[in-house]
Amino acid sequence: MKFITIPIRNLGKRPVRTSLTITGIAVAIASFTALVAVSRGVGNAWTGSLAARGTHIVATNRDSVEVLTASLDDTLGKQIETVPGVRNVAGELVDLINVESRHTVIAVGWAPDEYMWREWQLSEGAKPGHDNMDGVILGSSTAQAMGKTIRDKIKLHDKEFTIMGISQYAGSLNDGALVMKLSALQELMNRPGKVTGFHIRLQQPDNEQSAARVKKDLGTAFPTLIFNETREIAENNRMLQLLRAAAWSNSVIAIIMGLIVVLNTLAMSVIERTFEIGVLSAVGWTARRILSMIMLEGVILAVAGSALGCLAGMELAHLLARMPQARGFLEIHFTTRQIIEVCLAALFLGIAGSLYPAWRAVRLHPVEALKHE
Amino acid sequence: MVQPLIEIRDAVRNYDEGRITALRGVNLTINAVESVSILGPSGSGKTTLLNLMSGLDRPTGGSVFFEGREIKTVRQWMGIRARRIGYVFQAFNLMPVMSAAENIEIPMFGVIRGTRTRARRVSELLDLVGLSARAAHRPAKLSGGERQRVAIARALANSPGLILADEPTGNLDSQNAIMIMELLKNIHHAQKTTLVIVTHNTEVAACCERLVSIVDGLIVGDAQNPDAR
Repeated sequence: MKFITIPIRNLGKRPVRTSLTITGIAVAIASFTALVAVSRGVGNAWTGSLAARGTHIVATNRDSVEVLTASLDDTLGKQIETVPGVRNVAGELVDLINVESRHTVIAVGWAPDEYMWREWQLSEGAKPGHDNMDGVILGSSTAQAMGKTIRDKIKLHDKEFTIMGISQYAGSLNDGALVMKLSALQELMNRPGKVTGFHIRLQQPDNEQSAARVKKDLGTAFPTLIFNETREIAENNRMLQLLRAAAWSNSVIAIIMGLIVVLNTLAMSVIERTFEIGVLSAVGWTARRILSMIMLEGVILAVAGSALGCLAGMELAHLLARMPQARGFLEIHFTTRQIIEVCLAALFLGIAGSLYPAWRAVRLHPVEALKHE
Repeated sequence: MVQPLIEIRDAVRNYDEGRITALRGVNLTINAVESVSILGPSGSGKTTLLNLMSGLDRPTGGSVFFEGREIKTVRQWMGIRARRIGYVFQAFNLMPVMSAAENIEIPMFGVIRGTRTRARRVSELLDLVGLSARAAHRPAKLSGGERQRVAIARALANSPGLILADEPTGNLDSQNAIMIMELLKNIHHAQKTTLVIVTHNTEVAACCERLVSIVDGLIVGDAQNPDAR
């Protein structure tokens, strides 16, 4: 018999309680896994889509908390383009818009003479022509969710638009976007001459020193703007920081709940097994061995609950990402780092949750414990 | 001069903040390879005395020595006890969720390394107590006599030099009681272990070579028993 058999048998003695405890831990870990994945998923969706468009730096208002509320003159783009090291600049107006009061999509406006518009790839149809102000391009996932195809009409703010093309682009934000001409979106959103930010391509993006120098020069030339490299944008965005903080604080609460579940189960188990622990002590088990047995019980509960919770959390996060309300906003990837975080959370649950019960078990006086038969 | 295995000097044990006195200045020496029965009525302090000998309990006053060292000063006493002392309880005290073989193996953790080595030792002990065929049975599926034989095998797990038995036949019918006493005597003779049995049964006590009588926490008699059966 291996030593681990003993804590497994002890847990097996109360199958209902053990199952409920594992379920409790699984719920805590599933919440942790899903919340953290969702908070990271928003950032992934954003940075992934920017990278797919070939954007290296994004410029927006220094004091804007949220990109969607930023407001910059669209003429600034030409000035930014004059900074040495900058290859292209594309002004972009972005907003969330309800389509036919049912689907919330990201509406994006680009000027037809800028690189974003020119390079946007379509899987079906064509881009709206020079004079066509009522044509839009719909991302394939949004088109699918809305059941729309080219030449279908959609209503935005009571104005009718025609779907001229369907785009299929890497990055879930891109794939879910509704693209139209900048001037059309400015008019629709009542923001004439304004953009929310500028996408900047560098001449030497792979040269870190050059990129850092251009970024510094841009900051000096335009002190009211903030310039973020693509990989930094999600990290530095205050709304995403708030979202991450909320996800982590909820996760901590979930983990504490899991901890209490383990602690309660093992504390009850130790009280019930006072006599057995007395027998183990009487047959020569040292305090360290008794401590190991109780802590192993905690770790087994936590590992089993965490394995289940991790799988459930992954499934839950993917389910959320597939929901119509979240389509395009979430890109769920599970990384080794996340799995390590879950493993650490499980170890913490098992060890911290079993410390007090184990300490109680060790403190039992064998003679007194043997009287509990 | 041979050093005694256990020496108890002026041992006093009070409970309940001194309101109850279980032992009132007991002096007792037990030498290696002796078989000693401590005979006394219920409440006379015999189990308390046994608990002091095993180091499971500490005296309120006086001292208990094991192989010349005072138990309370010995570091790692629990580890030493696991190797040197086997304990047999009146109520068997087997783990209900474990088989007979697994119950016997429990004291070996931390003493005998390796699953296979432990399994071999368990097998030897099951043979010794005649329960090889019942190895996989849990205590609930064993008779009272079989459970006590498992408990004896468990006490022998680490080949201790001293076996302390607290009313080992107290929960058994007369036939099983005789069988258990025969087993303990055989182990004592064959393995040269020291055997200390606490009992209120004169017939059980008569199986040992030395009879110690205890009444109201005091030793009132200590004599050799030439008629040990």
